[in-house]
Amino acid sequence: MQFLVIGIGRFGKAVAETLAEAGHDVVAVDENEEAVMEVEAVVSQALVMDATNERALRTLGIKDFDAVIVATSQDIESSLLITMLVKELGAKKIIAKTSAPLQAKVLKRLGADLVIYPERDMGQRVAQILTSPRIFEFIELSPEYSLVEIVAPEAFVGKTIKETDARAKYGVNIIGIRRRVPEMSEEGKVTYREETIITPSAEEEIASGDLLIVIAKDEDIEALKKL
Amino acid sequence: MGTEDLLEEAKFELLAGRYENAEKFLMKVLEQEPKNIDALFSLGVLYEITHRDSKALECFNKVLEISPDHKEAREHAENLSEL
Repeated sequence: MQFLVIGIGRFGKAVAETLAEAGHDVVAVDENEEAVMEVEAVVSQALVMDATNERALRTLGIKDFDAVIVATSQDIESSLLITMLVKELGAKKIIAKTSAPLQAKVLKRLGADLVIYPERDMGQRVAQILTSPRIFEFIELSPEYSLVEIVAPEAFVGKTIKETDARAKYGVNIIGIRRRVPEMSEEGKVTYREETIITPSAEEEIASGDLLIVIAKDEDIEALKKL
Repeated sequence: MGTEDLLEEAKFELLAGRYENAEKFLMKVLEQEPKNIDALFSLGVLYEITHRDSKALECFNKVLEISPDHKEAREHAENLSEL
């Protein structure tokens, strides 16, 4: 796939590098030469460009990209203008970064298909992890539901998923298990390997230390934390 | 039981997934030899497996205090320091 990333700050750089490392064609654009130089070895093409300049944007062939990522939210006006321009130039899909709900509304009106709040999402994640020692990951899926990685409650250990009756009793869907399996290294030291079981069978027994990957309503997750 | 035997029992229990037993054996080793690197490291791994990360980090840091060149302890400690 082909992606255009406009704005190579921390967020844009991470997106560009991750996409490029996954084998996609990535064109990265920023008006700052240093930022461009940081990614040029990794992406397909890195350009120093003022993306608020419509003529310059036209030269990129916006319609050819599967998605355009507008990651310039430090400067709100530029972010809005660039989103509007790439929409007018025929971008198939626009993903825009923001840190403010009001800006998000405007970005959507101007054509952004998806608005991302990395600071808010990371803030929520960090807060959840800090205040819940048994939670190792937290992703909000919708206002009601979240995907959570949680240490298996004692009440579940030694039981099969079927025996826990997790869905009926607790309203949680166990969609995966992350397990650390102890083993001995060649030097005789104890170590472990990570195993991830996605969509485990109902007969899968939950072991002590398992991280359960669950999707549930937030109130059900709170109840699960107390088990 | 000597510390070597206790350690062996601890590792056997740990590999079998009987973490409570393994922890008891390791604690007995450390009562007798508080600076036993093998026991401290194994206890750190046990805590890591059971997601008691702050206790795991304490163990690996103790190993590093005694043996700053302990490569595996350093790797585990660095991994645990990342959120």
